[in-house]
Amino acid sequence: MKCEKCNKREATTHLTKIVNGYKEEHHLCSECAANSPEYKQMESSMNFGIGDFLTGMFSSPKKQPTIGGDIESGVCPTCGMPYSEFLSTGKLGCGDCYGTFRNRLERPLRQIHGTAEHIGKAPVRGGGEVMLDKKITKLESELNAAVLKQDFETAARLRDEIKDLKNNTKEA
Amino acid sequence: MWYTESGNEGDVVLSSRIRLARNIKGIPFPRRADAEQQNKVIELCKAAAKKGGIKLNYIDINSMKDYEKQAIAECHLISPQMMDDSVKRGVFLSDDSSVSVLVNEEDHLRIQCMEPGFNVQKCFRAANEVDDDFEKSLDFAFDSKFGYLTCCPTNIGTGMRASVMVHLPALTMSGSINSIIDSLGQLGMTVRGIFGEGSKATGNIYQISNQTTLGETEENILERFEQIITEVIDKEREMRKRIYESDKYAIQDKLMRSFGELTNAVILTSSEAMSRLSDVRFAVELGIINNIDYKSINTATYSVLPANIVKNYNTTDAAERDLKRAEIVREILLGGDNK
Repeated sequence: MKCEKCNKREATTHLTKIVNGYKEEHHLCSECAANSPEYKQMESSMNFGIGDFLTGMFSSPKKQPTIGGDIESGVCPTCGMPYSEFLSTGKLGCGDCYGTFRNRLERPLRQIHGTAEHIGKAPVRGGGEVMLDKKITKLESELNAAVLKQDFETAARLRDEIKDLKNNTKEA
Repeated sequence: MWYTESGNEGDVVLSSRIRLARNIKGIPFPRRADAEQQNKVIELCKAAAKKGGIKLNYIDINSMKDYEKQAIAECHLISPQMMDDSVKRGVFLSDDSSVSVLVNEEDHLRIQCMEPGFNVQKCFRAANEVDDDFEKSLDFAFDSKFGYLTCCPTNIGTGMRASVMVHLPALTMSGSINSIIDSLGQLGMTVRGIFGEGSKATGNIYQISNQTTLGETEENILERFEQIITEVIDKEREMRKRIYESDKYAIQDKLMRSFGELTNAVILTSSEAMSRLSDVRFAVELGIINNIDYKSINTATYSVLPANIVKNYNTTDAAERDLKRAEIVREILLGGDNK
């Protein structure tokens, strides 16, 4: 069946409306349907912004039993933001919220970014050293993998890189 | 200015930008901070900027008039979110506007570095330097597992967003843009309109940026970003060639008519100006028009935007503005300073 509006594309959306007891039927293609007043009205009360998707990801699945009480309760001691507010806005209140709600954030963060482990730049104060250790550990495992693959060129480069990093920690 | 200059791959890429999101430890993010805390962030940043090696001038956003705010937002120096006065906000700008540090946007600091053309590496080096400068005096909220902590969990980790402004007339004309947007989405890239979140691709200009910020080093994110953008550039160039070869005279006719319209129109709305300017840019890219350079088109593209006209010519009336806009474009396209 062709779309009744454009008469070009195949009708994929079938609308049935009952107005004052009279039945009306419409057959539209997806493009014309998206522009129809009926769909515009349906869409109007829904939000498709990123916040609305985040909210879904961070609230716990309904049927899972939670340990230690209701997952949606809890307040950040630094900024006073309740977790429930995060669920409705998708935004956190302060840096300490990540510590307060750490257990609930980790899984969804993994879903957004594919991982929950930062390996990039770190401020020199409050984090630099920890991150350097982490980077060295990571490079060492890459070195082992390169040796196993007998990729000695990469291995030599990694070995030098690790040596440089270790020298840096000593100086600091 | 970086947004009117032309740089690497200037036939497709208008400009590049790196943005780093940073927050100060122990102070709630702007939307949850009270007025006193918001002011404290501004004062801390001012003190930090003074000690830094890069000369930055501070502007208080709240004391600016609405059209002034909109004008600098049109040139991408601040984000549209900064126009809302419910939070005390400010911006640090370098003399050439290539560095802009937003204070109290969604995060305490948003360090932005911009360059003409395709040059995210240079932007990154500059942003890194500004970040180091501020870090000398500020304690940033950082977690050894989650990285830099940000108001929105989609920005944590590196807090880095790389983006390019690209002109994609051929991919738009051929309709391939939708499948490209889908594919880029699967590769972790977001495609938006020229003015960022929620905006339309006016004048076939799109903003492409990386989506994920956690789990990779800044260098790796950039490397992948550059590879993907290079692909987009190649695809756009290939499609331009194909479209032009398929119906040379029809394309010439369409684009030259737009040139005719822009050089003869008396009344010009901003949306009409943007779409016609895209055609003229396309004509320059295809070599149909040779006596106009990208710099002139970039200048025209930004000077036709409503708030920039209000700011530069003090015309608040919309009808008057449409007359002025036609005059500005005519002058730039036909004026003596074209090479």
